Amino acid sequence: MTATTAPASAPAAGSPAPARPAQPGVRVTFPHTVRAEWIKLWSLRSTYWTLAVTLLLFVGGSALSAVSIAQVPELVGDAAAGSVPIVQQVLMPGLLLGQLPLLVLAALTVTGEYATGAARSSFAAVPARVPVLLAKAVVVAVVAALTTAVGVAVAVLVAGGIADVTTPDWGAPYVVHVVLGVLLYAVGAALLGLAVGAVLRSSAAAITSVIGLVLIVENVLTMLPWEPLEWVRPLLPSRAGMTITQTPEQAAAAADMGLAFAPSPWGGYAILLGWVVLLGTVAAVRLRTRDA
Amino acid sequence: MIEAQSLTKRYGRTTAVDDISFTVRPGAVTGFLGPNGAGKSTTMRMVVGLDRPSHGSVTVSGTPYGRMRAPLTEVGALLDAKAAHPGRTARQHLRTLAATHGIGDKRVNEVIDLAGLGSVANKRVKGFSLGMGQRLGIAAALLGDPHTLILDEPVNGLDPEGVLWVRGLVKHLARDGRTIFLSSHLMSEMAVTADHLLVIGRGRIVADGPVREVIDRATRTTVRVRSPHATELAALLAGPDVTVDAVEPGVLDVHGPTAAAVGEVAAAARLVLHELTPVTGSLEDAYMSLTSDLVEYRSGGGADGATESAPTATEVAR
Repeated sequence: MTATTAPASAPAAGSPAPARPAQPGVRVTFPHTVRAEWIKLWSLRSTYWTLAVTLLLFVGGSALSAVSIAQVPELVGDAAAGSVPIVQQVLMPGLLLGQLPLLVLAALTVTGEYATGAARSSFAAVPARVPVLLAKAVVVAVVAALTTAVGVAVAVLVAGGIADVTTPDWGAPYVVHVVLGVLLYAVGAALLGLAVGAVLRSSAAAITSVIGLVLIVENVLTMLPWEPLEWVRPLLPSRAGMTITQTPEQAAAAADMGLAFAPSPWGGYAILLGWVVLLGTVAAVRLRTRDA
Repeated sequence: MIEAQSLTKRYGRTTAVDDISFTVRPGAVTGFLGPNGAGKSTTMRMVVGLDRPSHGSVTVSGTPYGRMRAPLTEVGALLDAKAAHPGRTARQHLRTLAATHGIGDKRVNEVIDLAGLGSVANKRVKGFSLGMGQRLGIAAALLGDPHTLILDEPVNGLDPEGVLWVRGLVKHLARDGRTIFLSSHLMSEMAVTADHLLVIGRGRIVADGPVREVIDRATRTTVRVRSPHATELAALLAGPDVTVDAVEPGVLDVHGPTAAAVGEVAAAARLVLHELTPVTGSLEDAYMSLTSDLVEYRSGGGADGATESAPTATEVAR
């Protein structure tokens, strides 16, 4: 009988019960935080605008490329119809243009909150703060992947209609790799935009930095003939990330173009993600230590 | 229950909140009164973990805000009427906050009705007046049906109907056993809303007690006495509850005893009086005397804060 009385007294001796019963299931979890970020993204008109522009630029850039191939078939030389060089020729202009609004959207998901004071509401609801940033990363990655997937699908159809040779031959070597690489690069670039926004916290500063970096700084550093830059070029985030859209042979051939070393497709992508992790860590440390 | 211990916040060389300790109890409306810049908002931001204390700690129901698993159900806070993205509608703003806790749309609709936002719930926050922003902030604070409510200047920008609504709401929630912590720089607002008063000036707590008591203590009767024997009279009046300030040669401000008592002391000692004027302080005087104290000390003057407000009070009395 002693065995039954002992456990009976145990709960009473435990920590005092809360004043009122907790509301079942109501608490901060990571899935809840992701859901909140999802609602946030789709409740702003700027999201629809930037994604529409992304798709427009992606499809437009690819269509223009298809038109030039149709008019000047020599552009693709003796490459087989639907092979890697032709698929790249079609998709890369779309990706180079389409990434820009995507970067802006990603940066705005963070900086827009600081600019408006909404960050204080967000961090009061999720006091650990870092999960908010991670949830934004999940949402941005999913949206970037889906948008680019739609962009690629439409671009492929439109380009195929303009110039038949551009329709990807899915069985040809590395065609699937290149198309998936386009998706992966878009995700990585968007995450870079998010990380830069999280570090700088200002929309104007973040947009200028991230677009300036991708459009100008990387190109200038690529053109300057100063030798030590050979070690910098392979580490430039956008350029390194772009290698994921290449075949291993193409990536290796880049060593002849002023690079001290040529990252492999996955190695280059790892460099881009490395930048994202580095900047994201800086942002997370600041989130934990600074006042909101 | 909010408990702060040695709470301190410094920004560079400026000390916004200076080593304050206090307890805000459930079942009552506690007013947090102080002039602008006294440290009210900084203190409240530290309670909900938005600002990190330079020193000390603060807990709500025994737990630091940052360790709560469902903070919105513990503490609801209105800290800033502009804490929503202007591009979202009121409903969307509330839905994003609710989603972090898995709170359903039913509760979102409830707080929209409760805060009287029904007609503007689907409008973007961009076009909201300050009063609408305050109502949205209060709706957000109520989302999790919290035990503790922290409202920073909630009546700021509200129309008279809104002011009455906030008063009724906080009193009702306090009767419900919740902890209500409400800031204002308006003494008159506190006098009708709060049960308990915490007065802050220059980052320090200068008074802490029931409203009536704080006001009474800060508005002790002042008697202005003009006499050629001022120095002798001051010596006779001296006592533990009496403060005598020499305003100018031959003029005293006596704090504590009534005019009758001062007159009797003077008569008993056969001292001639040229003037004997009682000066009763108002709520605002009490507030000024409480909060100007620290200002006086900081600026290096040796004068008691009470003398600062006394001449104004005299002018009003005349």
